[in-house]
Amino acid sequence: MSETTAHPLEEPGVSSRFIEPCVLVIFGATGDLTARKLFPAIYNLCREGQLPPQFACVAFARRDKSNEEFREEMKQAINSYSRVKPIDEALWKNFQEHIYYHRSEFHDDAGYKKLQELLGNIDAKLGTKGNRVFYLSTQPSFFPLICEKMQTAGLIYDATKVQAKWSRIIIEKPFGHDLASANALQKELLRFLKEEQIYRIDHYLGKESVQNILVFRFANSLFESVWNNRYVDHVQITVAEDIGIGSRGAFFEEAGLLRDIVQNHMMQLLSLVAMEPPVSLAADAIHDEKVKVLEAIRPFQESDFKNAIVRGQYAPGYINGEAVVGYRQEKNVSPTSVVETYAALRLYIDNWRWSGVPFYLRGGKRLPKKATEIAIVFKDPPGVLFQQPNKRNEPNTLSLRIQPDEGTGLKINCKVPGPSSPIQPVKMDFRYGSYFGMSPPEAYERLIQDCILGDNTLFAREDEVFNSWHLLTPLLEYWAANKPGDFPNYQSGTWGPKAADEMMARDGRKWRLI
Amino acid sequence: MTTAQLVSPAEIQSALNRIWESLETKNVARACLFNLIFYTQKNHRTPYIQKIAQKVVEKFPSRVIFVSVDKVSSQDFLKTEVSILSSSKGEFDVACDYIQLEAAGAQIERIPFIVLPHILSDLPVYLVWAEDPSKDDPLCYQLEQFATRLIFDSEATENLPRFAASVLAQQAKSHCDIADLNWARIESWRDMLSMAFYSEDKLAQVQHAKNITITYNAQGTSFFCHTKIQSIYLQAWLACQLGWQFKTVRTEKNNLIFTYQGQSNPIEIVLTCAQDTKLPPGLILSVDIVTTEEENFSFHRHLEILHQITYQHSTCKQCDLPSHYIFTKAESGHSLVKEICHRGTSEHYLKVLNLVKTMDTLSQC
Repeated sequence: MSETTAHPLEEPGVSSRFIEPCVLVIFGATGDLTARKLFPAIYNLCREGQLPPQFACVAFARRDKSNEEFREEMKQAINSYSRVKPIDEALWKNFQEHIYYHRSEFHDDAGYKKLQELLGNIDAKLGTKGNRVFYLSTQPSFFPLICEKMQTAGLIYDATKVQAKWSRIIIEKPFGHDLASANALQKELLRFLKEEQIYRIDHYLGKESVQNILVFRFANSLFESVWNNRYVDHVQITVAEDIGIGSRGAFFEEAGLLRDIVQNHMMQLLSLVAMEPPVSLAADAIHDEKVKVLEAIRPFQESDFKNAIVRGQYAPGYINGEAVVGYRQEKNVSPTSVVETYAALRLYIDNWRWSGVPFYLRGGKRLPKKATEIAIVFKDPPGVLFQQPNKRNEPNTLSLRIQPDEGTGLKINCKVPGPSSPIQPVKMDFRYGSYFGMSPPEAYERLIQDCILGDNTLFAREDEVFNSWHLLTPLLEYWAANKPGDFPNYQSGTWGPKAADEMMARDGRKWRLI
Repeated sequence: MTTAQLVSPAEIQSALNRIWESLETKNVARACLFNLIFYTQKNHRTPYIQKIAQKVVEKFPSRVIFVSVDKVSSQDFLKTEVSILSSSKGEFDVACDYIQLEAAGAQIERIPFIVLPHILSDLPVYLVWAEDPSKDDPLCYQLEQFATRLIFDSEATENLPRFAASVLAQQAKSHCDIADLNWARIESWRDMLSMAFYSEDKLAQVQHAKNITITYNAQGTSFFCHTKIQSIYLQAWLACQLGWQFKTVRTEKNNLIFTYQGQSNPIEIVLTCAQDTKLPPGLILSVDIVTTEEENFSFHRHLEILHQITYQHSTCKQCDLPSHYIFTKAESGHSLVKEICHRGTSEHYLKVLNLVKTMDTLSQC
């Protein structure tokens, strides 16, 4: 049905969104992501009736495995990692029949030909109508190869010529490792695909609490009216993790924290919190506004590399009282590594709304707790009344907690009861968990479903990725040319290097204690 | 749930405060998404309605004010109890206030004056009117004044066309949105049929249906005996949305048979009953559609996995392999939660009511 024609059986705003039949093919399906995130997400979509009945999933990987073995592994994975446990046996019994394992090397033409045959058989058997989602859960270096092989085998349709069926590709981050490589990758992909067929996943965007940022901002006049440089003193965005790099040593040695977290998750959060209201909720309208923010970020000057940016690497320490090793002692990490596991940046967005308001971003591994939040710190009121001797009143702070304990807090000042008038900050708190009393869907559930629906609102558009790399590539180059002399420079279980606190102190501010 | 404490109306809030204070060290979070007022007459259905209240707060913690009036008693009395309803989530409980009012005789008129001060400000007020709205009850008018959404249960009616007319009249004069539990109970079917016939060619096929058979569980219980209503709603919804003109309705053996005139052909819809004590009363078990081109679309509920529907399409020449739709699990109370989530009054529901109110014969069914 065309978008403009109302379907008589569909009630706008009430009926579920129509999901077309399709096959989801996962490349690199024996990896961790498939077991921990993708299959639990697919199972939960099925459990909640959010998948079409004409749906199948094909796992494409290099290891030898039968359909039955793979199904059993995925069953165990769902029982371990799904937000709803244990698995519904009756549901699984039918659902597993729609799961196939296809063994092939990524470079093997014959493997793609056989995949084409398998998909054709599934179409005939289940009525999946030739629609395809290809999920590339592989190392990025395989992306162009897989796309090329798929195109040769006729698995990717030319979106300009084929209307009756569709093929879409989900690509995991990182999209390139700097601006040049992102550009090169995009050029490679565009040899085989149209931009509208590429879905660059950033799982942060699938989180309910991240989607709520736009609702919070644009469905509440109370906050939007003060969401600007007249009232906001500064903004802090924190993505803290208490875990180390675990088994990702080899990857992290190549990537570092800036590429792993800042370039994607943090820049997405920044653009959502700073963007102008879009003209509509259409995907492109939202992407356009996010891109404008990224374009308006002031490029780093030479002096910023020393004064407005801090990098760090964790040393041994304690997390929740348990001793943990330092980064250089982790598996597959060089004992003299200079890769950053912490970064703090001060950015300015040179536009009408945010002129002069600093945005402080910090992200790190082995910090005291896992916490992602955006804090809007407001300016002090005129200091005529309620000044306390030798003590500054706390600024009003609005905190949007992304994870865990999703919710919103507002810190306000309040008179302590009694004849004297000491002022104390108090907090008004909204918690998703206690308010809605239900577990929100996992990010991957929403994102997989959106891709099947052809809605790329919650995926990163090419210009978002490029603008982000455009900003950060000079910093990466500076860091590559100027190795740090003080690594490791923060103890595991602390809030990062002293230099980060000093950077804030120079600006007369401090990091929030989360 | 904590033990209910009998208190005077003036002590409701202070008693609740005391209970919460006593729970301070017990890892129980107080939560409230909305005000949820239930009204029912004290009878055999009351425990069923209370069970729905419990199910709702498990999903959406809210302040429940449960009003039951005893219209049979010859005595005047008003009983007020407070307790805390928990969603029992293990080590960290989310719980909410539960206020129960029971009245008889002249004390009934005090009810609105006890409800009003205990509505939490700034939160929506959902009023579940578990009685037949076609029977005049001044309390309905008084409580509806505070409500943002009025939820009926057509199961409570003896006469469906009269119920439809009453709800439409209520909707015309009311400021609040209207909903119906039986309408919500068939939401999954509506959704699924909408998806199954989404494409233009499939839509054209169902528009040219000639026979539709809907099978439902006619095995009632003491609190749920009007088992046809969900099926009546579903067939009426198809007719309204596909533009079929209603002709007749009659009973033949145990079947209820509706006839309509479509764009080019007559349509007969048969509601046929099954008896299964293990299944929820009124549950729609299958929908079979045959078109003028002799295409068959059959949707059959799995009798052990109730949220699974097997769909099969066949023609004279070809029979497709079956596939499965999954309904969101239909737990008791879940349909109410869905109704609460929806914004506004369903336009489709109003169309259905407008059709049903003209089906006079249904009043004897």
